Amino acid sequence: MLCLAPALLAARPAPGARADPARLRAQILASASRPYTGYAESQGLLGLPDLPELRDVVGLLGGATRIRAWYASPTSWRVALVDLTGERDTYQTPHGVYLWDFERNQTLHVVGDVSVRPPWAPDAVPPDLARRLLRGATPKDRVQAIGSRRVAGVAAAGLRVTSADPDTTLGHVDVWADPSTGLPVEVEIAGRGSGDPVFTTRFLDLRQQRPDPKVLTPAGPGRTVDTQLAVGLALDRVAPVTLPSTLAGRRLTATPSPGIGVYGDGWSRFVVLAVRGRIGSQFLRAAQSAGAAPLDLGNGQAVQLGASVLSALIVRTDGDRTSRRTYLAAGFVSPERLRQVGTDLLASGR
Amino acid sequence: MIAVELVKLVRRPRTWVSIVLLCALPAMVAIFLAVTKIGPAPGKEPAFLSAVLANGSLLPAAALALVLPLFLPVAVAVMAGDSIAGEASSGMLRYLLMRPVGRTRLLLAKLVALLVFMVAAVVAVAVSSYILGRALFPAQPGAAAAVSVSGSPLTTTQLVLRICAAVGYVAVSMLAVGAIGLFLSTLTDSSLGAALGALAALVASEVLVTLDAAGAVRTYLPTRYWFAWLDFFRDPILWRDIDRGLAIQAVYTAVFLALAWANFATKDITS
Repeated sequence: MLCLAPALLAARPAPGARADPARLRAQILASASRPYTGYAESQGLLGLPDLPELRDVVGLLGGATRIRAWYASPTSWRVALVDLTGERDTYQTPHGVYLWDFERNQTLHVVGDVSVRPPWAPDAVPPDLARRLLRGATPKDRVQAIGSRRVAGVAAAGLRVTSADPDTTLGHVDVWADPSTGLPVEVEIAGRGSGDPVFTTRFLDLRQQRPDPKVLTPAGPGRTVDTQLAVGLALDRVAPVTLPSTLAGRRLTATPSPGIGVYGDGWSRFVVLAVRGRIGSQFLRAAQSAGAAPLDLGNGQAVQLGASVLSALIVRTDGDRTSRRTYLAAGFVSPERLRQVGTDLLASGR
Repeated sequence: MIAVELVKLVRRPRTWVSIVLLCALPAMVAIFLAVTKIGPAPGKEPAFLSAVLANGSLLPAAALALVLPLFLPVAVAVMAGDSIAGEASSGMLRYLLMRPVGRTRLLLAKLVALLVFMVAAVVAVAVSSYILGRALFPAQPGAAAAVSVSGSPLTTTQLVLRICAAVGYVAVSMLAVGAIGLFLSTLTDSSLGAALGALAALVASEVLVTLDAAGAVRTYLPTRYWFAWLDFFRDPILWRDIDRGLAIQAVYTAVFLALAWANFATKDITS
């Protein structure tokens, strides 16, 4: 009985914390000003191949991650990725983003826009992920109430958003949030046609209080470098080319930097990167050795990676070492749509 | 009775050989590290080893990470497995109990001797590593004695307190191994069999901890929170896993000591 006590306590039914789904959704979207301190764990089942420069993303989307979060406001928070060999902290301050890595004994001050970048640990914190997904949902998507859950001591009300967009690989997203404050405490993402979640994140400890300001101050010593690092992928590895204004029928909606483009909107939007030659070759080789399927798109080289709901495509145009280009496209978008992206990129010949 | 067992523990060469070997492994690694200056790549265990290159005061933490997964539990399992079964196999147990000594008192004395060995071994590893770390590696530049895993500076007092807390936690983490070994030692006359049994339980636990499919039982495994001592070096300290680690050790220790007592108090002593 002693051993079973924690499981029994965790399994006791949550009180009927039901909320009107539309109201709960609005509460969640308005919860960005709610402070909290918590410990969360995420589990991804996307099984990405080990691509160079994207190992942190592979770990985040394809494994278990332990996260501590201190959140005071949208411009003042800290997220720590804790593991058995150290800790990597991300600090958002009014003066920019700071990254501390214990094992490298290094602090980086990130200069510039970090809104378009590979996924990082702060994205996996339930409130941020829930708001991001709900903001990306379209009015056509169906929103319904689901059963409540007890999460980190909170009797949380649930809502499910089911995608109406046939181009996305995401089937539905379940979010549980504190009905009194709207703070999301658990998120589950499931693929189309499958009820099983491919990514889950939930708080295991949570206090909805403003954190001590001391923990929000970057404290790491070592080298402090002002860098234009688009976290996990240095911008100097991106080829600064002009991307097409339309790909696979989707308009270019954001160009945070030359050579990086976001196409479409909603959950089916995708990112296209033009990668410099050597890095592009590394991507291509890593994808091929990971079993990526070669595609015949007429000219050039193309391989497609499918990791559960995440689709990725690498295409390389014909030409010599100086003229050829490698593009990486990825998103929660159907493989068919991404193949069309590859065809358009090769046809554009840029 | 307890004093007798402690004297036996101190006089046994095996005790000192075990402790010296436990201290030798981190020392050997430290010397290699000091000579080659090649630390593990980021993300590669053991923890703290790369940080030692910049600050020798952290060698005790790296040493704990080195000995905890295998060497320390092996030493504790051997000592625990030998505690009752060793007396039985040498034919001494029957004569020992013919003296006016209760079985419970004898078991308690063996347990205390085992605890003293565990604490002494972990403290010896930490102290020898600290001395070696200060001798072989540079000190932290600036006023701070070290940098926490979270990047904040630690004073000498804070660093020593956190190392002491980690040493205490690692010693407590060995309680379940000791209790399982002690229980098995009351079941058999073979000290080797008891030690191997305790080690088999640990290896099974360590395998299951890494298995995603065993997620439902992972929380209840004795080795699940062994490495939570690292959380003493975060800022703020992450108490979640430390609390759970202490609780799980308490449960295993209570259950297996109770089983050991129930078995030893009622069994027929024939050897």
